[in-house]
Amino acid sequence: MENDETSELSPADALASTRAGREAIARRIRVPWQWDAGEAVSIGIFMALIAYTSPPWTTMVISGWAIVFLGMVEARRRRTGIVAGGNTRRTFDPLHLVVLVVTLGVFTLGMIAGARWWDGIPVVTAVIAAGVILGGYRWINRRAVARVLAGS
Amino acid sequence: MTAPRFDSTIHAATRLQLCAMLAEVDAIDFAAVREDLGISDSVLSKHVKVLADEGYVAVKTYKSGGRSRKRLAFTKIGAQAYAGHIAELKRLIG
Repeated sequence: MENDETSELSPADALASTRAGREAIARRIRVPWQWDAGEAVSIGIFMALIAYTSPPWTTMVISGWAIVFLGMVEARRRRTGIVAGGNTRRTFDPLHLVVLVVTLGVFTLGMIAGARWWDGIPVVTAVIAAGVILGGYRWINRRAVARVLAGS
Repeated sequence: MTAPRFDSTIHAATRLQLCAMLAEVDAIDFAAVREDLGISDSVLSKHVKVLADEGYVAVKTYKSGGRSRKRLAFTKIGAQAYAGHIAELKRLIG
């Protein structure tokens, strides 16, 4: 088997084979926007609920959301068949951190502003945060697909 | 930068595709690779065994939905060997 495949394989053919492999991975990691929207909306709802609940309900909201969110992450992993823990150079995009910081910043500002001025502010900030996450996730996904296809 | 080094273990069309896939992820399901390469379980198993025997690929078994599944990942030396092989191919092409 090995000899049959290696004997006539030129360097150009070999590189073409690697490109085919990268294209297969790119097809797998290309996430439909509905998946990202689902995660973004779930985080937005969670943020809004957290702003209007107090213990012991807060714990229940956090637990319930964690189960839903982890379920979504696992469903995405099963769909792609790929494990991308984000702890290697290949799969980690620093943009993840930017999205995280911006989202937490928006959430914190919403909580502070909601306590001082208007009760509805946390809902507005939750919507903004969901938008940031959706935009960020789509951008990260496009970058990942482009990076895989480029083989860089 | 990895030093160019031809690797005859990797230099087969199917294994090159497999390595190119592994190089882009932390790990990938055996079934996903089989589906993308369009080959049978047994053929993929043979290729994986060749790479695993060289210490290039690690195979992990896990349970999902009550079924036993396999997951493939590059080892550190596997990733280095693949990078060196690609560098050599690019050097040969010029």
